[in-house]
Amino acid sequence: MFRSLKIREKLLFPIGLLIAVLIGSTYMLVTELSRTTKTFESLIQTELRARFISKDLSAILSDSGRLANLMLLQREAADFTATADRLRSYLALIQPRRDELGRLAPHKATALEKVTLALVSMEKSLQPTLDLKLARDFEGAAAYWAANGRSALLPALNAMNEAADQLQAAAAKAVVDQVDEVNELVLDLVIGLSAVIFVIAALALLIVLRGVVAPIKRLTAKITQLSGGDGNFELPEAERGDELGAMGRALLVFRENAEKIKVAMTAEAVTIEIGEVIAQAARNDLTVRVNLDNKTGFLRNIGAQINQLVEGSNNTLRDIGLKTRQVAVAVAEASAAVGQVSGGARVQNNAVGQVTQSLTESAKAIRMVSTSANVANEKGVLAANLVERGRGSAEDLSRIVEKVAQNSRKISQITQVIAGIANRTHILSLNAAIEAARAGEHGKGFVVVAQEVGKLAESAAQNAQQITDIVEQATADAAAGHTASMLVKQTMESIAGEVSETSQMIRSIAVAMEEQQAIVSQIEGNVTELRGIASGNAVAAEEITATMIQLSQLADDQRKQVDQFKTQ
Amino acid sequence: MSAGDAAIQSVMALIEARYGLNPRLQHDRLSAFFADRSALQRQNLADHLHTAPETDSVWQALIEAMLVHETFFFRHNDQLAVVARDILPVLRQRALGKPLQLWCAGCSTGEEAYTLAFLLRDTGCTGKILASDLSPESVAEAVAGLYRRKPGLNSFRALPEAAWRYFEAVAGDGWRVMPEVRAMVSFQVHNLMRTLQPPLAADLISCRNTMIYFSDDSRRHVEASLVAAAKPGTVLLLGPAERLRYTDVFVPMTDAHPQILHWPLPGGA
Repeated sequence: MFRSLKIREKLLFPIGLLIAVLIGSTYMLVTELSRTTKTFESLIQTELRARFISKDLSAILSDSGRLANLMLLQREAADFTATADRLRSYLALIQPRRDELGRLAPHKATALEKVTLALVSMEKSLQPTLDLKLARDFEGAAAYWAANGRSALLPALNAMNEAADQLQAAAAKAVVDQVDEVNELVLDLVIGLSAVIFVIAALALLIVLRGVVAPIKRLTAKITQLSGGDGNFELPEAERGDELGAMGRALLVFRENAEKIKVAMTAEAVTIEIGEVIAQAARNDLTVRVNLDNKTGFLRNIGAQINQLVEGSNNTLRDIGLKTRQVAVAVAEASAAVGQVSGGARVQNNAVGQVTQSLTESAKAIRMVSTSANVANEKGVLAANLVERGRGSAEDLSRIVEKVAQNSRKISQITQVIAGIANRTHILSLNAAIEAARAGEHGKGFVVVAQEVGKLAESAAQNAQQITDIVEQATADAAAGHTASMLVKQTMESIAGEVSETSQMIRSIAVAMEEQQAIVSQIEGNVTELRGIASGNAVAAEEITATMIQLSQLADDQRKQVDQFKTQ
Repeated sequence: MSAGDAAIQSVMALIEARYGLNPRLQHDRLSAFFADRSALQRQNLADHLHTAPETDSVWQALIEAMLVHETFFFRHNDQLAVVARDILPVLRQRALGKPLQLWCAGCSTGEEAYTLAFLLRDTGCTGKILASDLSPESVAEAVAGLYRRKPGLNSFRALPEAAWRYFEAVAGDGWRVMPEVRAMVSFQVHNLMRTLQPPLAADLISCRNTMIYFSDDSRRHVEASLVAAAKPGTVLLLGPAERLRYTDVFVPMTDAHPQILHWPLPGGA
């Protein structure tokens, strides 16, 4: 029950008690002081007032005496009359004071009686004394006043002074009594209060010592132990309901935290290592990894996650790097290819240009061929005519040759006759020679003739033979000529056929050439278009080349950027 | 390397210095240009080119031979659709009634410049287009605005059906851009290696498939020329493979279309 009270409540109990006691004491003190005040008030209103009035009456009486003496001394009527008036007004002051004093201090009746006597005597004596003075009997007035007016004054004055002194003494005594009473009370109160406060303080001290300090000391010891790193202690305080319980529970938390801190402390190196890894990764080196072997708990998790992150970044960047390089290579290749295409397009353009030129030339050639074909056709017709005529001539020739052959045969017959004659002449010459020889000397001349005849016959025979040979030759030639002319005729006939065929062919060639010409001119148009297309392609390809070079540069820039990351 | 090849190399370097063309892309055309000449003639030609001014006829012939005039109407229409839908209305609003100023840098034979004019008319914008190219011959063709529907890759290969209304037929299968559209475009021979004269503050610059022909170093000058003709808010259109290397004045307007850039207005508008 007590342990579950909060320290404040524990301390509030004695303090509250103390306050209650203080309040009670104060109340008592205040009541007593209030009573004392009232006592003093009544003192002031009765005894002290009475003393004051007594003194006042004494003064008035004394002044009245002095005024009366002044009046007696004055000789001028106006002077003593005025003084008498002042005396009267003084005397008028006595009655109300006397009455009040009578109320406040009835026990001073004797003294008051004396005052009344003095007043009455003075009031009674004043007018007669004044009358004497007015009658200028100054001696008589003085005597009269001394006998009647003044006689009661001194006892009254004395009585009043005495009363005042008595009242003064009574008041002083009452005050002293009252103060003593109060002092006594205060002393009692202080003593009682001190005792009570002492008891309460002792109680509070006990409470504090037992309920607060001791547990705090125990807790402090444990906290100190914990701060030293040793969390091995029991903590029954944690079950308390007061602040110390809260402290104990907090200490439990501290102990847990201390455990964690211990873990964290022991893991500081690990953290630094992980930090190093992160820093290195931040410096674009993605090959680093946190070594997980010597790590446990959340640090291992963090390490694993960082590894995952770095690994992911590494893979992504490596992938990007590979792809970027691939892109760079591809773009470079494409760039080269487009360059080649561009070059090819230019070559193609040139080639197409050459084709166009060739076509123009071939069209020209075709036109020429066509013209030539027409000419050839005409020539063919002419040739056909000529062949026809040739055939006729060949026939004529054949006939002539036939005639020549016939004539030759006749000549041959004649020649044979001549040859026979010559042969017989030769034999005759031989016979003549023989006969001449037998004739001897006379026959010598004849021998010569015979020899000459023989020679003639021989040459005739030779000539005839020659003629025969020639004629045979001529006959053979004629036969050959006939055969030849027949051949010529046949050839001419076949030539005529061929010429007409050729002529027909040439005509068809000419037609074909015309068609060809039309086709070629169309092709020419197409090729011109093609040239336009090729030229457009070439220009476009060049622009693409330029673009590809730019792309290649961009790819290279990107590759360089990615290459800043070191990956594995 | 023969003397003739050395001559080609030196002319290549000269062309790069004067016109910024990438030597890697020059080679084939330059070889073709030099093809019929002997080594000595090549050397003579190279010497001549080194001393002759740009207005020289050989230089002009060489320039015409070196340039690739690949262009057609509504090229990269995806990009142009974004321009028509999202960009021109904003530029018009910003111009507060003043006509827009567009620059088509590297216009070749003018198809792209006229396409921009079509877009302006389609979106109801008023504007002027300056179109420039290095080749006087191409600029002359562009000024004529006459295009033929030749077979193959002709200028009309990507023309939307609706855009035919901007053309009038002429004899021989030719189509001429309508006079009122031609009046929107002015052409100029200009070398992108130098800034435009007179200076321009364009609302939109289209420089597409032009920088691909420039070497890396010369692109610095091209980009400077583009920036010189721009102001905060200027939109820049680039070709698909192009990007700026030397200036960060222009930034892509959206991730979806990185080839549409702009010079951000102060205050991020």
